[in-house]
Amino acid sequence: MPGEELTPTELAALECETEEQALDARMIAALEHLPDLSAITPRDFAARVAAKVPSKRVPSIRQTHYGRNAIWVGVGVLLLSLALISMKGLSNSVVDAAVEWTLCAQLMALAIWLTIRLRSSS
Amino acid sequence: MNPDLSFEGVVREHQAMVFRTLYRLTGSREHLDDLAQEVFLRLYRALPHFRGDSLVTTYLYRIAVNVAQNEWKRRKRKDRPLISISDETSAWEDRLEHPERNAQQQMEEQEFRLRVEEQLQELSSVERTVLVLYHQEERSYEQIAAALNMPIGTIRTHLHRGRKKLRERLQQVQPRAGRMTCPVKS
Repeated sequence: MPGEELTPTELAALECETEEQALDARMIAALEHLPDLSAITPRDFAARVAAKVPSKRVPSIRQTHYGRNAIWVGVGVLLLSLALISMKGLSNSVVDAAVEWTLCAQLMALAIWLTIRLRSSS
Repeated sequence: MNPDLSFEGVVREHQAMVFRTLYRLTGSREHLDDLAQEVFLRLYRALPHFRGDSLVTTYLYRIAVNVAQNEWKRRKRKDRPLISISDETSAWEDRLEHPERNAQQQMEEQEFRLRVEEQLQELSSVERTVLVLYHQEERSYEQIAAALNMPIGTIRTHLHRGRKKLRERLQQVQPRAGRMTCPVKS
């Protein structure tokens, strides 16, 4: 109650509480205090650590042309097949005509694809 | 992390924090250089697995805590004293006179800080780590939880318990902190 005097016990408890709060504040301040370690941190620390790690090797990238070579082989095989068919002479068979047209279509497709690839790479 | 930053740049950017954290966690300046190197070399090995900026700091704290714990165990095995006020090599720069403050007051503060350092080393490893990361490094509960791989609730508990234990220990060793008149609350 306002105006009422504190008993000695209450006064002691209040003092304790105040002391504890003060101790808490000092403790937190001590914990928050950043230790100055600049004197023991070597100036070249970062460089020394960086020198210890292995330098990154750039992997060697050699361009391969497996796909294009395969296409050239395919073109050769198709041309050979067409030559063999033409040497056999004309036939009226539907199957022969279908095979011939299919090979022609494949040859054209490969020729177009090769042309585009060669132009884009040059 | 800046992708253009070299590893040396990363080290330079974080070295002060790593030294500070290791110092507080191990309680000694001895071998700090080697321990910090160990932290960064471990970070280097882990760098290819990083996904973003915030993880580097979190991961660095995690590594620093692990390295400090290993060092702690190593010292325990060797049974060496960790820190002492009479230790000539420990915190000698901190004891140098500060021109702006009263010498007596300053000395008291330094002694109190050293006492806090000593008592901090008496806490359990996890309590000490949480206290250091929260108060010294000003990390949030979430960041500490991520660094220590623990739930946030557990971090809060360790922080509360650690502070309480530290206060009680300080009350026991600090003559003017109410030891004579105030009972230590359980």
